[in-house]
Amino acid sequence: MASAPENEKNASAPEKKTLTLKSMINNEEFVVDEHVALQSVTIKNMVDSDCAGDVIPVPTISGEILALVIEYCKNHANPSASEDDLKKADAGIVAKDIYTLIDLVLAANFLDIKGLLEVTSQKIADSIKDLPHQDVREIFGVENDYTPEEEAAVRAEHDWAFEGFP
Amino acid sequence: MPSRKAGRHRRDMAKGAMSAYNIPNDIIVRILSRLPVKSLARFRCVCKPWQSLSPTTDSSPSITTTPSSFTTATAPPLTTSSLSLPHPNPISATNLHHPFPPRLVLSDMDLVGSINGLVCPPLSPHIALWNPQPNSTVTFPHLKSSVSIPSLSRFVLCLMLLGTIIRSLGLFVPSPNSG
Repeated sequence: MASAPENEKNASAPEKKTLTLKSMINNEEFVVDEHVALQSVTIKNMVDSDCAGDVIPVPTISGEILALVIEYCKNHANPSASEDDLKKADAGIVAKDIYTLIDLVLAANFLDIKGLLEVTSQKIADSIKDLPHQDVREIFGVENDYTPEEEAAVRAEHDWAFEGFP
Repeated sequence: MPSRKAGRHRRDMAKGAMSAYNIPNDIIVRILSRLPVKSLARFRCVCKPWQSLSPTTDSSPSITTTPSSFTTATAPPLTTSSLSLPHPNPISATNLHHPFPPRLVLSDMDLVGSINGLVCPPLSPHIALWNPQPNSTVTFPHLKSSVSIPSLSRFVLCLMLLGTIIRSLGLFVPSPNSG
C-alpha cells in the first residue's frame, strides 16, 4: 500500500483509490479503481516505484482499445465472478475484427496483462487459421520478402497444406 | 472473416492512427504456436522470418511449445535415441485389433518415431503406426518391401502430418508378404 499523493477529488471515498489512464492517441481519459488497473504489471510497477502521477499516460493505445482493456481488468478484478462468467465475458471482449484484436494484443503486451494476452492471441489464431497466407501477410502488414521462385519452393515443401487455397 | 477490401481499409485507418503495425516477434510466435499444423505449414509462405519461426526444416525452430510434435516428424534422421515413447503400454498393444500375424507383439519392438500421440515402431519387415488408444484400425495399401524401414518410417510419419483426423485412428502398414 503506497500512500501516493491523495487525490482531493476522491477525498470523500478514501478507501477506494483510483487511477486515471490517459490514451496518448486521442487523449481520452479513464478513471479506474486502483485494484482494477493494477492487473497490468506495467502499471503496477509504475505505482510500486512511485512513478505514477495522478494521470498515467498510455502511449500507442487508443481510447477504444483502452476501454476494452479496462473492461477485461474490471471483470477479472471482481471476486464474485465465476469462471464461467469470466469465460463468457472474455469471449465478448475478443469478439472483434482482426485489426482490433491486433491492437488489443499489442496493448495487452505493453501493459503486461497475461490473461488478456492469452485470450487475444488465441482468438487471433482462431481468426486467421483458415485464411490464405496472402491475407495473413496483409493483416499483419508483413512485407513479402520471397522471390516468386523462393515462395513456390517453400510452398512445394508443404503442398498438402495449400489444398483449396490460392 | 474480414474481406480483403475491408482489411485494407481498416489497415489504412490503423496506419493513420498508429503508424504501421510493428508486432514484436514474441507475439507472432505466441500466435503461431496456437495454430494447427496445416495453417502453420501454409503461413511459412508469408515471409522469410515466418518460415524460420515455423517448425519443419532442420534449422533450429523457435516454436518449441506447440502442442503437436511437428518437428519430430521431419527432423532427420529418425532414430531410437532421438525419440522416445514416454509410457509404452504393452496392455493396450496386445489388446489392439490389428491385421498383423499374431506372432508380432507390439511391445517387443523398438520405437522409430512418434507424433501427435501416435507411435511408429519398426516392425521388420513391417512398418506400423500405432495409436495406443485406437478407435479403429486402418490398413494402408501394400508397399514395396524393398523400401528400407527408416525411410518408410519417415514417409509414414510425413503422411501423418496430412491431417489430424489420423490422430484418432490406428494405422498399420503390413508388408506384402504378411498375408
